[in-house]
Amino acid sequence: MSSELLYSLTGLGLFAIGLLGIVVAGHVMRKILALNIMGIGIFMLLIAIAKQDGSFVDPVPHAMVLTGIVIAAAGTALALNLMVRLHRMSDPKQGKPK
Amino acid sequence: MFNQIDLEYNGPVNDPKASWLITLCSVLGFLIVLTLVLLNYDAHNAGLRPYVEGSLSSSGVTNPVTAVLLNFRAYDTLLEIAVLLIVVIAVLPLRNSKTSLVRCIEVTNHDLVLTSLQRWLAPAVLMFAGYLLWAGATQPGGAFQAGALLAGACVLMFQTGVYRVNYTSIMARSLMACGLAMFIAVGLALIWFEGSLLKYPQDYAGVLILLIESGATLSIAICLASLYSSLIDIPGTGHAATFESGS
Repeated sequence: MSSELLYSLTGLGLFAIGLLGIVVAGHVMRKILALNIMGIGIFMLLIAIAKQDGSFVDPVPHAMVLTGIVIAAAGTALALNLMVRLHRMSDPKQGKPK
Repeated sequence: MFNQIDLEYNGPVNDPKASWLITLCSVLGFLIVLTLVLLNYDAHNAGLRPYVEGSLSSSGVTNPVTAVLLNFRAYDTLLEIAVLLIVVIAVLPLRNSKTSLVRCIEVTNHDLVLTSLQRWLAPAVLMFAGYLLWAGATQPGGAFQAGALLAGACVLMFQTGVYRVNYTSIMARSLMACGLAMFIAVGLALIWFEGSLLKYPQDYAGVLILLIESGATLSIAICLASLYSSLIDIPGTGHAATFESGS
């Protein structure tokens, strides 16, 4: 088993864990974390696929991942901010809605 | 179901155990299909590498990743910086304050380790970020790595509590916008001179890429750091005072 294949399979595994987390998780925070894990799995897969026979590397997936990391960080920050706003808007004294 | 705002989902669930099992099975099936696809994936196709290598000499840089990011697919990077700026605009408070960019505040409980660490580390981080920006033309490195390092320095500054970076000041806002502004300015100038957006003339490509990257580094650093601080903005911990105008 080549290391590229191992990395690709790990990326797929992370993607599946994230997907499961998004569907199963109850809290928004966990969903956001699961979305991040999913994204990291895709990045890992892209990087592993970019490595071709020998030492040659396809630079285009690398550039895409570099762009994707920044976008993922920005998206996560926006999601977390929205979550905090939502939490502050909901009145904690009211208790849980039925 | 969702008539009241709550972070937990409290809608009707028929049988949590069954739905969990169904989800698990579907994800496992999905995983198996993806694995089969991956095992049958023809890894020996050359991708876009021949095209990149063929035109690398005319791109102005020798690092293929930087060439893809800022020359062949520069439009992507332009949109990426725009997305980052839009997120910051969405997150930042609308008021802008008149205070300066960096303020020294008096704190009663100095964390000696953090403060001295920051004092020693911040100049080194600054220098290393400059190096990364410069090295991006020939080696791995570039605007994003340098920007992330600078943002880390800002976060360290935030953690020590001695300095406050005021992200709502005019200076911070112009720094956030300067990357996109420079990118668009170069693009528009190239439309004027070359007739096409972000199509660099071969002689000036290296200089233009470095110019765009310098602006982008500053923007990315301040944007990421402001995103970090926007999440830590907890009332009562003193940080909220940063967003108050003039006080």
